[in-house]
Amino acid sequence: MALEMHPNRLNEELARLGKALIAQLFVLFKTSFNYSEGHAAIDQPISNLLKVVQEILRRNQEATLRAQGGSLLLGELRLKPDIASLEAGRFVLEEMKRHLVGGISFGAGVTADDLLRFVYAFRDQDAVASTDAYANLLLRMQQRMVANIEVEVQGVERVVDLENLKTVKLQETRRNPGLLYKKALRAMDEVIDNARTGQTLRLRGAKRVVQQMIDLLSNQQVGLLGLTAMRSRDSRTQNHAVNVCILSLVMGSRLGMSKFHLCELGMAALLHDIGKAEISPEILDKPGELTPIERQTLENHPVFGVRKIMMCKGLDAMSSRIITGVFEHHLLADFSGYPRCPSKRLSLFGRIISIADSYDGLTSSRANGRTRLPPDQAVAAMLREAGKAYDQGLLKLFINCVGKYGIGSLLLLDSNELAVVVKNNPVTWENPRVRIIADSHGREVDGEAVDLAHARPHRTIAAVLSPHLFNLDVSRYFT
Amino acid sequence: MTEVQNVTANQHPGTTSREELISANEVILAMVKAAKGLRMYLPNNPVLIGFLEDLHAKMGEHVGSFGDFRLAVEQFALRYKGCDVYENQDPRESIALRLHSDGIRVLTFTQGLEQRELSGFLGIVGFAGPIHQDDDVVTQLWERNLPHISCLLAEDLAGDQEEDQAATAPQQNAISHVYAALAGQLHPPAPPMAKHLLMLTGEEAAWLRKAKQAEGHRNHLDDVVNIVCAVLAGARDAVIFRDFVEIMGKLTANMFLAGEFGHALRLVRFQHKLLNLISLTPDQQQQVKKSLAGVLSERTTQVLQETLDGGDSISHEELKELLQIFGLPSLRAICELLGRVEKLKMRKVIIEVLVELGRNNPEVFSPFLADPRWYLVRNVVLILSMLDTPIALEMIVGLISHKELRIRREVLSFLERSSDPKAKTYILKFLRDDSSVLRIKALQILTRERHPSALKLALSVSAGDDFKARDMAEKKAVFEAIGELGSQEMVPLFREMLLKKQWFKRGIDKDAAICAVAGLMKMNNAAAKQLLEEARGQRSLEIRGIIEQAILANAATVNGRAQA
Repeated sequence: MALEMHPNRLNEELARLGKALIAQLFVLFKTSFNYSEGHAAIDQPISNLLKVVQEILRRNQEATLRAQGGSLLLGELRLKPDIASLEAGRFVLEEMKRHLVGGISFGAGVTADDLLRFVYAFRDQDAVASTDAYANLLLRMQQRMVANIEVEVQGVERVVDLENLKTVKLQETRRNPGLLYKKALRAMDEVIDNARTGQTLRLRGAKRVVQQMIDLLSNQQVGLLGLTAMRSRDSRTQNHAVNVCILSLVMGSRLGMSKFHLCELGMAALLHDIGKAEISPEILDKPGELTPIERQTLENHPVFGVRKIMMCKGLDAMSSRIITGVFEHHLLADFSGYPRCPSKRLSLFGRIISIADSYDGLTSSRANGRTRLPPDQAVAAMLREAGKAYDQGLLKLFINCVGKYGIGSLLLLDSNELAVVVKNNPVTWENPRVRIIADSHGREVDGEAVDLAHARPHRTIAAVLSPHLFNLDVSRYFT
Repeated sequence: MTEVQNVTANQHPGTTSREELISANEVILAMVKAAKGLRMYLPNNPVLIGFLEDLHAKMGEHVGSFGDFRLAVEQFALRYKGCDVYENQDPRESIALRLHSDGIRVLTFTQGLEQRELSGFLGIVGFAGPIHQDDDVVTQLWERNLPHISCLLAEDLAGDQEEDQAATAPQQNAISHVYAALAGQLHPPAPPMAKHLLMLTGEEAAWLRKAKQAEGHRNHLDDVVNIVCAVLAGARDAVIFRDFVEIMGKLTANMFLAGEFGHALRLVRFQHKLLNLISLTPDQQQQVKKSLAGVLSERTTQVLQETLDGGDSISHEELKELLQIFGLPSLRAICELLGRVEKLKMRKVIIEVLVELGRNNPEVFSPFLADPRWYLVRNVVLILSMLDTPIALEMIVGLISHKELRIRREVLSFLERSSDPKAKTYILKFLRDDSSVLRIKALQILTRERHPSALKLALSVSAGDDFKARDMAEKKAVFEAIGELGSQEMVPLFREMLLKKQWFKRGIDKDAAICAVAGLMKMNNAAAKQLLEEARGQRSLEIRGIIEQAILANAATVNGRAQA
């Protein structure tokens, strides 16, 4: 179990194993160059390599060696070279580069025989790298029937030509909320995959994304909020997690939290439903009402999440904040929620994430017999619980952030035009600023942004719709 | 391997001036120097401060003259406007590799850059320090809040293509679906909502401010401990209970290791309370007991010892409570702790608890009596001696012939203190101990106790073949015992020792004289004094001196008694 006050101890152990993997691979490659297949000299290096691989797998870690940016990684852990491992590391990197291989993965059932076949498939490559090197390697592995070992192709490394680089454009690209949203989804996919397989949770990618979101809050907040209209198809996609993260960050920013605290809040919000990785999709995506046992299982997901973090992550300042968010997000301000534990403490993080989670849940999910509400009705429903399930002041702050008609909402105007809410009106809720996306005849247009309070001709809102029901991408209207 | 490349006229492409490239080179030189300085010097070292000031000045000059200082990051090199200004292939030292490995491809320093930003930057990229598993150079730079240093990442460079494809595809199909669906599924907007109802009142704003402040001061460990306790207290599911008991056990141990004794104690108390819940099944009780028993491992015991000897993080009362809760399942560890702790008051507390634990059943200590660590065995003997029961006596006497002197000494001390009459008999065995110190002590105890066999044994020892080879202190002790126990009857023996000349020797044997005097001093009666007076006229100056001293000592004792 990875519960450590110093999670770096686990890291150090993995680093040791990673370096051992490199060392044994180095010896194996070298030996294969000197001895032909079938020679007894190859047996010991194969046996040593197999031991290391099995040791890594026994710890429930990826036995994958990756080459990235001149470094070797064991899974996602960068292996910092020392004097002893310098030569071996260089050699292995060179060999991987020669074959255009970006990663070598050893599966759970790998045997000595697999390693033997693999190393000679690897060896039989021309000394000079060619563009077909990777394809040729795959072919040889296939011919030798190498099982339980996979190779990934090397990523294309762009060399930066600053003279021609439009850094300004790239800075802007970096600030694109849509791209960041997708990055966040990918980061969460990786985390959930880790969680499902019981591997150590590595949150570096997620942390980077949260930090970038915080950077965007100052001048791209509207764009970020607009993206929260994106919805998951089912429990396997992570839109809900990302939406709750964005909504929480916006609230935290409005409260004046420091960047550092916002990062902690963002991580806690992003991972608030990590416990659901232990619940089957049959329950999570069940369209109808849940049975009492299913309901109980679902209501245990905050506890599952706490367990997951403590067992697969270890305890440090960041994870302790995440644990708070994971546990508290369904407690509700009056403790009428779940899990039903004798706990009467609720942090500000927990309250914020609770509101964000409820809003996104009300406006998105039709699983488990729930009715999806348009944003304005979700806001109204939550207001009815103000002072009870939700702190009144915090809820008001939240609604001031998202508006009555959530940014990104799809509206049908009385003129039969379709529009997307792109900004709330600071003076009146009922007339947000919208972008016309379809004319009165239903034709897509790249329309103007219109302030409904002052629109000529005057328009009002006839209906509020959910864009994802129709696979409509609203993110493009915020870039 | 050159860390800083010297720029020559041939290297500058384009319209970049030579002056600009030289300036860039100087900035990099200063940066490398400052990075090395950070490794070598403490932050307040004037040499390091000088390096950083120099770097800041050069960077400022460059940015002021030529605009943003922008570097392209390659695997082992940094390029300024197409020219290599830095190269280092050593993976342990290369700044470029460190940046490149974490995905940084462009680094930009802008106008307004502060010295603290440079220091912060170099502190992260200048050398390979330990990095938390969830951090890399990018996340660490962000956390340092360096507004005048920005970077572009490899993923940023790859992003534009993805964006272009997504942004331009038409959505007419989706829009048509919307209109088709609208026919039957209109959602009219919610009734109007007056905005003033959503304005924060003064009270609400104050509450939010206070909540935000309180959040900044929260103790995260407290929160986690509360959560784990809450889950366990409310757990109905057997698997959740089992898992969280395990979590709590490890958390408790880790709290000890981290020096968080307040939290550790809290968790221990909680588990203790949990054990007493009637709703727990026997199986669950076992799980909690096992968890508690696992807390005091080798490592936690060591940390606990260091704390007990080092500071005042734990009070005596807290330590006592802690050990009482750990109880018998952790007996070995508690004995181990006793063996290591040096502070007297803490040892007292531990001994108290151990005595309490063993009171009704001293046999719980049996396994430790055969432990190879002498200090552990000695401590157990001490505990048993404090129990002072027949069972304890039986357990201890088995160690009379233990190879470790310190244990035998402890056993002898116990036998001395013991109120059990059988104990004194066992002391006789120590007269044949390998250690003269223990033999002496045993004899002294027997003498003091007026054991019936003591005189006979003392005389037997003095007549033994090996007696002459024994050290003076032991010889003296034997004759003191003889003197004290034998009294008047031993006067002839002492006379012979003091007055009778030895064959083939000129005078009285000095050792014999010393022993005789010692015995007479213990005898302390008229006959003894008379003999001493008689022996005063010895020819040997040395022996005369010894006798004179004895007489004077006697006189002083008598005077002292008279005055009292």
